[in-house]
Amino acid sequence: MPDPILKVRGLNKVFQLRKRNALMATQSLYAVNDISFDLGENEVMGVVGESGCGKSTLGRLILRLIEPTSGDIEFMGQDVRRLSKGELRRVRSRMQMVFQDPSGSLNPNMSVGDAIAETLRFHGVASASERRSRVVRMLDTVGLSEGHYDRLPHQLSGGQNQRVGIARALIINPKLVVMDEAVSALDVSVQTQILKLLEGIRKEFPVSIIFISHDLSVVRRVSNRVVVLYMGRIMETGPAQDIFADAHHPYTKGLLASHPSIDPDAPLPASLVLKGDLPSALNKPAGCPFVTRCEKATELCGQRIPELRGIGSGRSIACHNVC
Amino acid sequence: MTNTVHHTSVDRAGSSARSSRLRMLLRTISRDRKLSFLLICLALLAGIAILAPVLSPYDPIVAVAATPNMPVGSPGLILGSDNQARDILSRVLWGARISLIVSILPTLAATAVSIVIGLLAGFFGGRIDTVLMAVLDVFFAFPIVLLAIAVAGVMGPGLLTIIVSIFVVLLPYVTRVARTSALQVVSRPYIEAARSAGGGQIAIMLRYVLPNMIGPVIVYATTLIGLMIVVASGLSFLGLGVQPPAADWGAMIAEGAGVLRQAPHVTFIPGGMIVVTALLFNLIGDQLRDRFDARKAE
Amino acid sequence: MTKTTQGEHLLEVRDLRTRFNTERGSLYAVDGVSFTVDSGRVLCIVGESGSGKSVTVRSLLRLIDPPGEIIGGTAFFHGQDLLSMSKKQIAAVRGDKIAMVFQNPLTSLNPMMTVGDQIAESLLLHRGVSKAEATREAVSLLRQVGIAAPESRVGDYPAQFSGGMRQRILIAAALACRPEILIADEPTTALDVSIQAQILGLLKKLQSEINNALIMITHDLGVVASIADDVMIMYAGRIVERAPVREIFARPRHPYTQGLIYTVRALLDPDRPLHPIPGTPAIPLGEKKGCPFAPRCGYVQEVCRTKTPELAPLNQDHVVACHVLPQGSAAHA
Repeated sequence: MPDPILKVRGLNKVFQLRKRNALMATQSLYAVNDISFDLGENEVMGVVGESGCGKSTLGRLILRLIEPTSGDIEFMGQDVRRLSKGELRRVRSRMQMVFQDPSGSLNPNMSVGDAIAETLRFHGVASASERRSRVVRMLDTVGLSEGHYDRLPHQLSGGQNQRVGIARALIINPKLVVMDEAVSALDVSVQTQILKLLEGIRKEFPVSIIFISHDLSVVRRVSNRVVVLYMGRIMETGPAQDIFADAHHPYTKGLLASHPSIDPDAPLPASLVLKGDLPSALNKPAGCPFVTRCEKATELCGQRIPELRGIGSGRSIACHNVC
Repeated sequence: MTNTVHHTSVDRAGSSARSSRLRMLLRTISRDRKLSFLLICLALLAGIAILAPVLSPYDPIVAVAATPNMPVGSPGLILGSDNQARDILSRVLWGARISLIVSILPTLAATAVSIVIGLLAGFFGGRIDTVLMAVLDVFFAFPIVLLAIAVAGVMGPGLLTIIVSIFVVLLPYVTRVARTSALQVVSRPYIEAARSAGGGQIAIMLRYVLPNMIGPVIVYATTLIGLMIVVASGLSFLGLGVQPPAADWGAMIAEGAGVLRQAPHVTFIPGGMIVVTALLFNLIGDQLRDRFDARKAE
Repeated sequence: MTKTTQGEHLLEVRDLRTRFNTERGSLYAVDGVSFTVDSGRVLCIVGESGSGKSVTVRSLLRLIDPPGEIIGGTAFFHGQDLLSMSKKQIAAVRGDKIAMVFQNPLTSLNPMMTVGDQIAESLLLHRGVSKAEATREAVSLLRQVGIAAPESRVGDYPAQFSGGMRQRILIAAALACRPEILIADEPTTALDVSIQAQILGLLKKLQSEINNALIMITHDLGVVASIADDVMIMYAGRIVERAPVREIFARPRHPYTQGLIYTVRALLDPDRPLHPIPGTPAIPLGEKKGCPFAPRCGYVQEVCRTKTPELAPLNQDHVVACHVLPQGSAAHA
């Protein structure tokens, strides 16, 4: 990949859970385990997985909203983990986040126009009047109008608030935007509007996006590349259309098979492919985290963690049984 | 899934966010008849207190009646005279000043200080929080009457004594509410969103946490004012407040206690004023609470 | 809506109307809804925010509290109108003949009661069996819904189960008295995709054993396609289209339905442009005339704004409420 803007190597996050009483040992939650990937310019990388896969934690680690336990994050040539507080704030002008809860992520006592301007204000960009005109232009870009500037979040719909959230992230011209389940809380018809907005915006503003979602169809639509996470590990990664058309990893296959198709004559989702429940993230598994549910599991799978290795045409897979 | 669209009129382009929010606040208040009515009553009360020198027919500390304990409706003395032949109406008007001051001032001061402490404790958490709360725990231990007596011992009885005592006693209670409110706000998604957008600590504290944590504290403080009027009057009754012959509702009750049988109005009129004022503030606090809860429920 | 003669449906709802009196005016959450339900069949009610899908089923079980009230309509179930029954009568129906599974398994179970007790509750209430008997039945139900080692788990508390398992427990509790109608309100929305697939399979399997009618509320067209026999699309408190599942996917005739189906298909095909339905899902506030979808509709005409469209049959089982589209040629789909 020609000069990726984001390089992640061996990223780990272990949460130490508070003891419920003095006699219990502190429990560790292995949220993110040994994640490595590159993200190129103007590339959309979809991150999919179910609950507990660590995708939300991953987004926050990259922006250093949470401190990694170990690993390297290199953003535009800078080691994100070594930055001082002041330097980190400056770097935040180049990487932004759009959150899951559209109205919850906006200050209820601030007009949405001012909320968008805040990003500029935080970084000392532009005078007050210049900020206002830039915000007005941004409102137009995201499909709102100047009249919306003085509205408060509770006066707008979820979809409109999410447009504000996107405006707030893009107004500073970041190189990277992490979208953490950014459309999951919206009605289906509104989701589509936001997706279309993103398509349009990407033509105007080249920006790399990490699109985190549990919704496979949405990820399929927006992503160039996809990363499939399970229990904090990458199971499979590759070009989006390739993965969705022809998944190799047993988990990815099971995940896709569980997704109901909209053809009434198709059989019921193959619920047998993914039996059982997701294991607890409190135990660090000795081998592959998927071993408890995998049909192809062998003894080796329970003993050794499979490495993520390339299998050609930009695809990688972490499995002992697939070549 | 939030998809409600409210129909408020679009403000003309060019009006700043601040003035439009003020306009919206005034609009909500005026639309709410209960709250408007209560606020008008409060304004009247404050007006009476401020204009006491003008409105009061007589000098409150001078005996002006023919005899003491004249009943209500006596000629020239609408509310009668007290046990020292002073005009009760004048004393009530002048007493309003003191009662309002000793209840509102320390409460306001305690609220302001507690908002600062609560904000710092809630925002920074950790050691700062632990230390601040530990210091506060000391204050929790003071029973008001003993504290007032101690302060009076140092400063002498008077207005300032009561104000200081009430301030010290209220501080831990209001701070606890402020801290809880701050903690709740700090855990909300928009705080994390502001951090990720590049917000520094001061900016987030002042523009994001502070405006959103104030509501519950103000509601709590308003209900406290009603209670403090009674407490301050009690301290006055005990002789720790303004000294005779100054007019003060609590002191008036004390003085009227001696003639309770013959002239109950000497006690009940100031007592009634205390009840009405406390009630007024409590009702305002209730309304404000409903207002804030309704906003949250939206 | 199968080919039975009138009066033979298990549940027949006519012109149900439920209103909420809010500060901002009257919300006609359910505004004249009629449908039927038969044993052994699955009816999916589809809609977005404000469609009234949840309020509809809650009205049937009279779970509407002030400021909401049911202001009209009938719901005949075994010759009796659910909507005009006394409180005692409807309480006897709930959990026994008609049971409901709610959306959020976390909050729908009492954290302080064992799962066995919660499943047994309706049995004790409606069947008057002994505690021992009810617990035995609870174990059997846990096994039926796929909980491993049910004998040892029947005494556990909800917190000891995962979300998917809790949903199974809720289903077990709902089915304890072998209800004739099971209503599931977005039962899989809060669950992961793989668990969702398991729950859907479970519901279908249980239906084949008990032959209950299943009313499922969902916004997910994939769920509809995989499990529904009949589909009802709701918008702003009204039914806009109703048809058997194959018919509705093959020949959607309401602009809203078409928009929804097109969207889902476009997501799967990156070469297809996205044509989102503009605007925000309408909330039926206040008495309004005209089609509630008019502000967002690409086919809108003058009549749409003044006259509320009624459901009219397109063919045997397919009804649509639209002035424009059914008459004209098929649009993009």
